[in-house]
Amino acid sequence: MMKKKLSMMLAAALMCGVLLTACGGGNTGGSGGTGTGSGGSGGGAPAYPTSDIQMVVPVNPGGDTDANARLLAQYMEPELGVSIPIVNVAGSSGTVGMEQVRTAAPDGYNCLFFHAEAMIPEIAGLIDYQLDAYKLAGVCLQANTTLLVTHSDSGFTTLQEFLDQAKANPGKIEFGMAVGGYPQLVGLALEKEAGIDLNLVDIGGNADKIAALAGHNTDIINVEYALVKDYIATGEFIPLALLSEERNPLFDDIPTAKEQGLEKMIFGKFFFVAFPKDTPDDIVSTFSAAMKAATENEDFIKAAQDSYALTVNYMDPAAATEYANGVYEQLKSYQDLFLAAQ
Amino acid sequence: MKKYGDLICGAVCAVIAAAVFVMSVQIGMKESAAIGADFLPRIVAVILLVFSLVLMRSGWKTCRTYQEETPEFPPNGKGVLIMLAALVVYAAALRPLGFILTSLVFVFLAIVLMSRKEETNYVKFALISVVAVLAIYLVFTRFFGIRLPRGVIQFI
Amino acid sequence: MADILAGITSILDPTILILMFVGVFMGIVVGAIPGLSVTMGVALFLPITFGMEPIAGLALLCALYIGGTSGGLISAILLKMPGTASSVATTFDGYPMAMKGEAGKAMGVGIVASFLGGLVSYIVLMLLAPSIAKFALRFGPYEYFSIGLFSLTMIVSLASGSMVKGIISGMIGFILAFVGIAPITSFTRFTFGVMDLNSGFSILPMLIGLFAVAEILTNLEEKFKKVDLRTHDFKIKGFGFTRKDVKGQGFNFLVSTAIGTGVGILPGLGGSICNIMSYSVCKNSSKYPEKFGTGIVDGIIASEASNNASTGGAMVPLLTLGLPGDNTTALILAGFMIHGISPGPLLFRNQGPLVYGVFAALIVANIMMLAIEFLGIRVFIRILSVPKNILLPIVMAFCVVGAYANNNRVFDVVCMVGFGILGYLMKKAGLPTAPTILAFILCPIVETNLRRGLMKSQGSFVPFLTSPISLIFIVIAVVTLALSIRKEILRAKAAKEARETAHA
Repeated sequence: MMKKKLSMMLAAALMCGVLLTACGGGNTGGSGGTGTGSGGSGGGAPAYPTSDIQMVVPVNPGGDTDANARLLAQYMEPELGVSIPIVNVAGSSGTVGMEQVRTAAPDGYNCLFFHAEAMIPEIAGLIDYQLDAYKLAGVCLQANTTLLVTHSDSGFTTLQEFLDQAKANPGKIEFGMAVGGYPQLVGLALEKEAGIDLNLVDIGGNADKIAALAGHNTDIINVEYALVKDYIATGEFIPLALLSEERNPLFDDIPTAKEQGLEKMIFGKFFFVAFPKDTPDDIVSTFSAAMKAATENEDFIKAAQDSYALTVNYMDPAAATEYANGVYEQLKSYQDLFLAAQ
Repeated sequence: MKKYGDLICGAVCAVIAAAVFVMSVQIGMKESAAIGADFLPRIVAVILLVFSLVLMRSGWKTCRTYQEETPEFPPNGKGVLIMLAALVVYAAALRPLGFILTSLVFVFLAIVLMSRKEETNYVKFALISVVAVLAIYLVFTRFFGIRLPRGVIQFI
Repeated sequence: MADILAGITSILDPTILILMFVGVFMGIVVGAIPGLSVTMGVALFLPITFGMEPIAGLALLCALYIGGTSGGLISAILLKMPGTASSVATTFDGYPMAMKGEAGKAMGVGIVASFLGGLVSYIVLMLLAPSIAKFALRFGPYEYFSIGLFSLTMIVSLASGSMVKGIISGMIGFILAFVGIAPITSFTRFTFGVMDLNSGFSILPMLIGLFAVAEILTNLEEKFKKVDLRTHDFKIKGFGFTRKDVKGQGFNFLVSTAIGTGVGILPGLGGSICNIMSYSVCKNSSKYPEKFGTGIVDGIIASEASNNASTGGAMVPLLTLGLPGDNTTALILAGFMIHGISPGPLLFRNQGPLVYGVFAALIVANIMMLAIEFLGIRVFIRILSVPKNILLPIVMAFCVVGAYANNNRVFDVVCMVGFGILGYLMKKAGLPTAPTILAFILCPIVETNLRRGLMKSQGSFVPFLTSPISLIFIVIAVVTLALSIRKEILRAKAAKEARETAHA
């Protein structure tokens, strides 16, 4: 009886093993390189990459960051000839994943995909490093879609009306945000730049903020256009301003905060890929070149626009680093207010 | 154990409650929230303390009125301790030695530990361990795409 | 009308049906294996859906969702380990039934309860989605806090026999939940400087540890116990149970389904909470509460009907408002967005055929789940024939995979071992683990919403009581608590008197 069971199990396992090794190649999860690396350093060392490149995304699967990472990976895989599996390491505003890559082996097989909010924990005093602790491979996408929206019953339908009411009723209008996060910084910046006093209330993530606004449980939030497209179309939500340099061609009827008088209210999100600081430059440039190729792919551009109304914009390592520093300085200028509100 | 069970449990919990309370005092108050991050921990600590004391009291009463019963089987305390140690080592060695090696050793050891003398057959156990661990590894890494620590075995 | 027909026909494509079949099957597998969660399964398949037609991709994701939520009952009943957090309560009565030799009956009842619970919630979804969604939006921090509070009072009823121990277990659950970064104000609490603890304990390693590891330790301790080998009846007729077995369960089923659907609709609350809630409610309102935990069908029906009903509930905010009801629906939302479709108020109007296609997919997948599990009962039950000394170590290896894969770090495996020790100690001390899990899951909800509510009201507790919904739940909570306490005191008195007359 025992022998029969044993041989049954053995047979089953062997069958499994054979079957799955065979179809292992088909999945993005198959370990072991599936091709020769394209491009790479000159002589000597084998051309990079020779095996999977793990892309760490420090948020839970399902949000826009995660989706964008998967999109980028999908289009970069044929460029580099290897799999780029997405690994979600969520927690503490992304710091767990960030730390994992920061301290990973600088061999070019571990990278981080994140966006501007990576700089917030340092400004909030949660950790003591920001993007300059990494070597940026480049920027691929930008979300110039952050809107200030209100609901239809709030009593104001334009940015100016909102500002007037806010000045007349200090501390009464509620701005929904998440303490310690980007939205709180945006809220504080709004208060400072417009010279108004709002009631900043913690509501949570995007889904929570949208739910609160739709239920008229809060007055004004900042949120990405793609997430509230329908609400704007039905008139339930009213966009007051786009927090960007210029109007977004994908929805150019929404005026920017800048053109309405608030010049410094520019809060977009740029998505980048970063490697540990000591990763060799030639590896980073190979990766970056592949990223550039992916961003020039028409299907990629269309997918990015269709999903989250993103602007595809490639920046090489040098340009990306400079840009990131610029954004960092802008965010840091609100640090005192931010720390005081923690 | 049954005799002092409630008493010990109550005492331990009371200590934990006190510790939680003390630690929560160190959590500073913050401005933006009306009540801070220390509020709920303190309430929980107090509730825990109160009920721990209640448990201790009933434990004390149980102590006094306890009738000793002979257990129907000898509890395998030694086995439990060995297993615990094995689990800890398993977790610690997972990354450096890799999943396959550590799991092989652990599964084999666990089966041996859990088997009675009359059903012990080392060859059979070893075979089962190898087959099972390999199957699990292959299914999860090849099919599900989950990454497991490779450790020392790099060729699979 | 044309939309409905278009929707239904869109999924009757053979390719899509096969896809859905695979999805349900994989979902069940993922759900059944302790350590793998539905969310993980959906995340795994999400990239594959990128290149597909929207309806195909979404049908696959829905199939995974349904299979995954239901699959948890298999390991819950056979191994006493919940395959997913949604099946925790199924272990309470499912495993005792298996030990009594009634595994087939337990599984059959669970499967049918899952199927029917899901079906009811999908019908509700189809008919009432927009209006329910509007209502759900009225739930703000005050209301969420009160619901959380109400759910917590369930703790008292979960601890059969000793309210004191139940509350202590619950408090332990709270303390475990405190570890990590505090909600809202981001202070690290109780982390002792360990960086990995910053994000707190994950529910998955906790479940695996408290159930699986503790189970293996307990079994090991009882190694020398003379085992009463009840021969399991492997011949299963039909679904394994008869009409007589489920007589009188109608009310229980309806209440559990209602709770599941309702909880699912509220964004942020999902299957992991409603199964325990339904179980407690069922137990509280039962004529024979003391039988709960010994192996009766009531508990299984309550838990399984409820968790599958929550899948329909969770789809409501997703489709009508574009807001995910739980982690898995967040992934399904991504599935929509990737195809350039943003769920929300206009979805029904702009993408009518697609929405009805999704409804149809849910129902078809539900039927497939029923079929697969029906055939599967006979296969799964064979697991019980593997002797424990071999089965449990292998299950441990699975659990390690699951714990590691949770966040790709060994730390979660370490946590799992730690929770295993905790579970073992709690068992020895007679502390029930259900209250710990419930408190752990509810703590963030209760704390976050209490503090948000106070932030919103700028320090005042009044709005918690002036909001009608909030008030209702607080009142129910207080009443439930009072009744439970009274029951406990009476029971303790009766026990004391019995002891005294015995000694006299």
